[in-house]
Amino acid sequence: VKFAVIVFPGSNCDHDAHHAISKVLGAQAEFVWHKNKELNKADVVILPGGFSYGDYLRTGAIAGFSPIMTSVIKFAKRGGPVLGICNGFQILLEVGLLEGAMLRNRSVKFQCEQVHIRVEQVDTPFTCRVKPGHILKMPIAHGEGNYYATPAVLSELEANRQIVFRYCDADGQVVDTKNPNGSVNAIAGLCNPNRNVVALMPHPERACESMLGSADGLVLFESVVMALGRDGMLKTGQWINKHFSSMV
Amino acid sequence: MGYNGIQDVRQGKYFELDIEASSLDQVRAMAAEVADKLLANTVIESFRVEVDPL
Repeated sequence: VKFAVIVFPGSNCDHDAHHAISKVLGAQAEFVWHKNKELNKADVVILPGGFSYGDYLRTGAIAGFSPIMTSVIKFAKRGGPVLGICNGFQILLEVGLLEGAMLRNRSVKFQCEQVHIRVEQVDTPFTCRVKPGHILKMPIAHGEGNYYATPAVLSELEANRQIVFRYCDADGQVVDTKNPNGSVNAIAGLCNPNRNVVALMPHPERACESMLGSADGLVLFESVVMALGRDGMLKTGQWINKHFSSMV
Repeated sequence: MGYNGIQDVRQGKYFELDIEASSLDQVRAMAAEVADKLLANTVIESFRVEVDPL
């Protein structure tokens, strides 16, 4: 399984993602510069965190027009697994692979802290190794993570079970005081209707070694390796955690 | 600060584009298209186009 970590001018979690995938997980990872047009036969695409194009205009807005994004969109529409982390989430919203938008945090401040998120859906390639309702601890670091969608879109997301992660307390209770940015319905992460494009504001790649305070994020990367299997093909419909739940 | 009477305040973004085209309608259409595709995120923002002939 080969991961492509896309590098935009201003990405700053690209090396963290590469390290987590190659050194901690032991899978193949390759940086792909945003001006490249090809994904070099990657099986998984990671859009990393950071401040692409200095967040000018809007977070993720300009990166959406980078040459590599044409290939990323094609890859996603073909069903390839794509994970957007933080700024990567914002880019996926801007290009329309995911619905909604990010507003300034409710605090109107950049927030850098550990949060807990509850895994709501396990039939995605990035959560298939997780038990439903499992609580993951990982850091956030963003100023615009206050997820917004119109009520119509929101009810569609809920009905289609596209809300993959919600902010919660350490016991898994969704309470407003543990919603760090004011996101509607405590949404920390989403997937597309086909479930192959997943994104979240917290940073799993920064929570892959217990020395760093949490290793809970690793399961997202392990999941996609398992979902892809030996032949590098997504086992659509087989992501249900039935086979994997005992392993977490 | 003593500025009584201010009931509300909002801030937004303002862009000036110099566009060369054969008609004002064409200019307006192009500006609206650019605003829709890039300058505004219509999920959370609205925009208004005003055209001044140079």
